[in-house]
Amino acid sequence: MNFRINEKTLEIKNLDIAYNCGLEKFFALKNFSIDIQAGEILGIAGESGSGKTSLCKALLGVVPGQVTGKIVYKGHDLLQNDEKDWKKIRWNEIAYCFSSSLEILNPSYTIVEQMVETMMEHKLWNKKQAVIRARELLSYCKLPPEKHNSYPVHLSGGELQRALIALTLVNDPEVLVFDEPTSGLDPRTKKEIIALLAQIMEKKTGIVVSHDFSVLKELSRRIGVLYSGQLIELAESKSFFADPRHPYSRALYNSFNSMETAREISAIRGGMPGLEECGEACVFAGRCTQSIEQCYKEKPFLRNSGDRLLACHRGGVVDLLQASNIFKTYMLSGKTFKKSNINVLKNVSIHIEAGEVVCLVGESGAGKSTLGRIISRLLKQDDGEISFDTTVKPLDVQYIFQDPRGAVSHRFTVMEAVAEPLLIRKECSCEERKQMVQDMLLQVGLPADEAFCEKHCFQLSSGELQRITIARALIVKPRIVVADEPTSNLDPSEKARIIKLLLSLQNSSGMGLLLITHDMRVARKVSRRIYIMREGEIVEEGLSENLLACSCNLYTRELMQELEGSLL
Amino acid sequence: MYWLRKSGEYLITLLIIISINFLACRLLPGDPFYYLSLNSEMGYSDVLITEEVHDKLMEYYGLDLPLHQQFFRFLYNLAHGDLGSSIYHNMPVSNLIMGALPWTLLLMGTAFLIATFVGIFIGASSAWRRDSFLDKFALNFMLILNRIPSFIIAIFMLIFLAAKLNLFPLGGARTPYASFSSTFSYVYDIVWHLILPAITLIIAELCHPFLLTRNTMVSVIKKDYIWAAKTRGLKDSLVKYRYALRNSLIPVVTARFMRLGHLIGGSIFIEMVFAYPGLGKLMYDSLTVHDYPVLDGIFLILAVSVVGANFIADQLIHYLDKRVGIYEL
Repeated sequence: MNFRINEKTLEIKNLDIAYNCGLEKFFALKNFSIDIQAGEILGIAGESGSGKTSLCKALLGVVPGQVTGKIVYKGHDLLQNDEKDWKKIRWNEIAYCFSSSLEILNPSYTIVEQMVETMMEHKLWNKKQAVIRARELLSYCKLPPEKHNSYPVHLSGGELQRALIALTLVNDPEVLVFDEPTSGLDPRTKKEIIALLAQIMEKKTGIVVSHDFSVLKELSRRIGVLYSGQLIELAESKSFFADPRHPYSRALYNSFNSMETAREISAIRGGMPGLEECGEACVFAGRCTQSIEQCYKEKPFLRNSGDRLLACHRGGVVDLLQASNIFKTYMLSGKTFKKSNINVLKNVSIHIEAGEVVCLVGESGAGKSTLGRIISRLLKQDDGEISFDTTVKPLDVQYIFQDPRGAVSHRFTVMEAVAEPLLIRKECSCEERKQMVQDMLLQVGLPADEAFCEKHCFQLSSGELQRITIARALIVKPRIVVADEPTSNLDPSEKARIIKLLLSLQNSSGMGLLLITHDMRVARKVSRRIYIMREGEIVEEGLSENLLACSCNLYTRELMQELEGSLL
Repeated sequence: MYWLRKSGEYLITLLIIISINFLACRLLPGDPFYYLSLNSEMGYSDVLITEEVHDKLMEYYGLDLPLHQQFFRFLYNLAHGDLGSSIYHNMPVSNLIMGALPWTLLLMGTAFLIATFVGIFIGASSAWRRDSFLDKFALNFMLILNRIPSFIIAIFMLIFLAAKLNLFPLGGARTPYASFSSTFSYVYDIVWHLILPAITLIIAELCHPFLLTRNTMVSVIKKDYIWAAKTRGLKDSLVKYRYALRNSLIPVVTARFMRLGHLIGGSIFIEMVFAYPGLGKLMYDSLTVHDYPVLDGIFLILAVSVVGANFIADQLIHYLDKRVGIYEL
């Protein structure tokens, strides 16, 4: 089949889908617009409940709610169709392949019977031809011939999915809609199904709806991300997977478990709201790590943003911090030595995006701590510029020191130590402060009772004290936290606990975290991006999966080789 | 192996039912001759039964033996195909039953089939248009109908359609002592007699398949394969019958066959009211005179037919529900 370039097959304009829930109206999809070109495969990603299935059903006119807007198929608005016109469209022009995890086939009839029935209904074949064609299609979809006459219950998930795909093809439709084509399948079967779909889609126009990025990555040319019934990002597949820009797309992608990275999967904080609850606010504002006042007042619309369309007031994920061309020199002066300069940082640039965990890896003396301190404004750089996002106020950058004993005065009680940053800010009353401290102590996994609060810092163990420093840093609800080797003085089990704690706090608060470490093993477990530092310079930077998989930098590989097979 | 196990199960069930029935009618106060003697004392009967004659008769029919001996003798005779002979009618039980059974089969079979098919059809239509006026009307109408005892319906039928309007005969299964010119007129006569009791039984039974079909289908309609069938462009009637109704039938079929026992209970009243010479009437008559052998025979027939109905239901489920087989290994 040849397609004319840029010929639009499907044009969806301002599509609203609403369901009645008692007296209330509930929107599954709002103001959804998209064009699908002939021969193109569009991927739609989103969590359950984001409106994906409603969209698919709307394309076939089987939504049990109200649908408004336009779905233009080959110049004709499908929503103007009456039931009779719909029957001509269904399966002949647009077909819907369901997920095998649902009970989609009639349990009382065999696969072939149901395929034949669909063909006969549209009177394109007589019964004999229909049976032959059904068997051909099933064989094409690699369902073994002895299973063609089975009842749906006798097929496994993968076989059922093949049967469903074959069923989709019976009337040779032009547009195929695949709804979660691989959910509930094992990896090998999934791979086979994806290959089959790719083969089929060569000659068709398609929409693939899934929450599984691996399917979308393989099949689709463009990706749209749906959230709570709204399209929030639309990009070419390549650029989307290189860098999802919308905070939600980014977070969703991070929650996806892939073999490419050793990173722990991270869930998106909070839950998806209904469209009504948001009112005029951006649907993602409540869970977003970079929302500003405007996000709660106005709904963002899809706008052009570089190589893609984004619905975000902030234009996608922002840099919380951008430090460029930082230079720092320490002057050494002494009686025995001549005055000498040590260039600790040489032209270092680093940035931290909202809600991101970044690791700064290097040997001791590489200048990591100095860079961390400059970023936290504990030190001043000699040259270079540090700019913060408009939402980051001076006290919003906090620093967690390597040595907790040096960082907290041993004369403080726990209460005093944790409350100190609040005292400096002079923001709340004594009672509020006490309450906040107790809440914070519980969050970092320490007891919050009177007796513990009255303990002096020197009475605490290193692990407890490190938790106190974390609590001190987080009590002011910072936007960026720089943690300088927070686990270096701890035993392995406490180390793991502190790292886990930091990550979970990062996830729930949505702050940007710069973790300074010399341990590649930690870095690959926690970070989205890694900076490798050596002798005051950043020698390599990149997404952790890319950097670990195919680093071309000798030093990075050295760092990794040293750790390979060692317990050091 | 499967058949062996199944038939063993049915045999045991049957044996338990027979024993309970055997005991139940013998535990009733009185005995067959007690009523005869009562009647004779009160002048209803020409035969005078004294204590002595009574004891003799008891001995003659073996009713003076302990219950377990009577039971084994009954089983022994049964195994030889002998149901015994009636005390009251003084003729073989099998003859009595064979005389009454066809009428019951005719009445119950007609009513059962019509009630089932009509009930399922209305139930399916009702479920398909759930919450419409038709559905609500059908539901309420059926519920009201279900609450009226069948014998009251029967009496009303008799009073209005038979006695007042004279459209149908008052009772019996055919016109007594009539000779028919052709087979057709003979059949016509039988059907004419059948209509009132059958309609009464149908009305009494209709609610059961209706409610069951409607309720099952309402939940089946919510299944994914129903809307998936619509997306394939299949026409409504196809989705309604092949998809929704077909998959709702399993519980309906089972319940209908299990209901057969209940139907027999209902037909006793109706056979009484319409003086229809079926098993129900024979059972009632035998019960009043404590005719044990007849009762045993009737109960045996009923037990066999109920167990048989269950067996048919079991086999039908295998045919209807493709899932049943795979769990039975």
